[in-house]
Amino acid sequence: MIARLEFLRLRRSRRPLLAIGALLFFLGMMLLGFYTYAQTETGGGASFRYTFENSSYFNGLTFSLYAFYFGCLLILPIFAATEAGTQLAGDSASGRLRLMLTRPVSRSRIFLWKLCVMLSTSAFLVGCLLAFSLSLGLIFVGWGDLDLYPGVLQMSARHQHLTQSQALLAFLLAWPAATISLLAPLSFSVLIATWAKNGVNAVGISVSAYLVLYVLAEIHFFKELRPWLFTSSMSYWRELFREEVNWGEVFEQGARLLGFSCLFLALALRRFRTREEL
Amino acid sequence: MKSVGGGPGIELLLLLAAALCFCFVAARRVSAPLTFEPVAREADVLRVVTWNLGTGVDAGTQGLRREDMKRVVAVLMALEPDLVFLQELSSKGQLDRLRERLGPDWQASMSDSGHGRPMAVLACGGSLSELPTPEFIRAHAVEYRGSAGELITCVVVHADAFSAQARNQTLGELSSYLDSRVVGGRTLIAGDMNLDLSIDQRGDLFSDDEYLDLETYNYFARGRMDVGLGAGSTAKPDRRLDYIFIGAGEFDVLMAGPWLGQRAAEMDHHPLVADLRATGTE
Repeated sequence: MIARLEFLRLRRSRRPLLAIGALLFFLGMMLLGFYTYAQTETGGGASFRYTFENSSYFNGLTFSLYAFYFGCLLILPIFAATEAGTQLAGDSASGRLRLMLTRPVSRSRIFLWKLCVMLSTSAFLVGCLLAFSLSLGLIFVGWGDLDLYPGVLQMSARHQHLTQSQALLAFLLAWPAATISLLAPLSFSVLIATWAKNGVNAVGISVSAYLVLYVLAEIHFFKELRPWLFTSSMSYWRELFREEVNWGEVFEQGARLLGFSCLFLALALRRFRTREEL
Repeated sequence: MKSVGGGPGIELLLLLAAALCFCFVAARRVSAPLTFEPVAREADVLRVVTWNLGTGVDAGTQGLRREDMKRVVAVLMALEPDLVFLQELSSKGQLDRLRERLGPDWQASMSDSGHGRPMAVLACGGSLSELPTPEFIRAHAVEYRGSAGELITCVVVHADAFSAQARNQTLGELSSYLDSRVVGGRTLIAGDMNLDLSIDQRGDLFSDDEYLDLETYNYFARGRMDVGLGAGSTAKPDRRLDYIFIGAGEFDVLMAGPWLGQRAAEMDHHPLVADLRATGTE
């Protein structure tokens, strides 16, 4: 009953549609940037004569990987924060939550169903980002083998050459892996939403806090802090794009993210169960 | 409003799951950067050292100082290497003095001073013969014939410290030069390449040239193996500037990394050392 209601409300809110629209816009801009960059680097504009970048390097799979990388780290966490803020703080501010609680249903149950809706939405959006980026890469650039060079997006320490089928399998595995990585910012946003007074505050605080943590994890100055930040493991799914996948590393980073997620969710549930709904 | 039962159990389960995940992460062995510690080696193992002997900015960036010579000799004698690639010597006379102190088994070949401070290749045992290197390449190439008759083309290189484009030109042209040489034997290229990269880590704020140097590194590393990859920084404060490259499949790398704590106070580079075994000789 709660689940049906929540999914119905999600559909009527058109938030997933808006998110898909934003993803398509992002991918369009990425495609434009990819074209112009590839032309500069492989044409007469290259100022460095000796380079690994050539026309076969810039193919549809490289585009998909670049787009997926930035989408997962910078775009999808914003949608996750929006969903959490709307589902919890938004419902609380509008009085919907109080209305739901007039029925004989536990708060934990409401929380868990809302979490299910958020998780499903996140997994759906990760899948959409992956499907759209691969499709656009195929239509506008064309697939091929995937070459990853050391240093580029910190994808690999050694040159990796993946055949097209190996790369597509890696993309497929990246779907659940990236969904797990999105679970951490989602849970973080859920925790903030249980404390916020309304949806706008919750989304604003979540997005800003995520960006601060992301920047801290990226900047070399703060490398000692990295083990304590969930944002430093967010792109762990890159490990899947290897000739020989280091599964130990994949599981370690995945477990780190799941650990943070469970911790945030436990704290969020505690707060959700015990706070006053006025 | 009163909370309804079931919640504390779920919270406890979530906390337990979090604890299990973190325990799993903590139990995984944390791999520290590899460093080199000199140990006895078998006769067929080739020990290679590259070392920029100059002083850092704090000491006015000069070549090997007279007072540091004793330290350098002590380190090289402790390592007992077969091949040494040195950068930032001060003069030909200094190299001669260094060779004399190392002992009669040592051979040396030095670049002319057309590319800034001289660099040199030294070999213990075997023989060295100089190879013609194009004027515009900041490198010095020699052919080393070991006591067992093995032939290795050795190149010491010192790329520009201040221009990513100059580094690209030096290493790109060196790569083309080596590719064009159709000779038998193996290849060793070592030196201070001044490529400050964060290959599989987050970006370093030290240099704006990083993404440009990536182009150079990836171009140069094609068909070669970066022996010091995964080892820690080779120069202060926290930079990996020194490299040893071998032809892919030509050697097995037994151990490689900077030997820390050996540089004299004013020097800014650690010696980078590698133990290599030529493939097919075990």
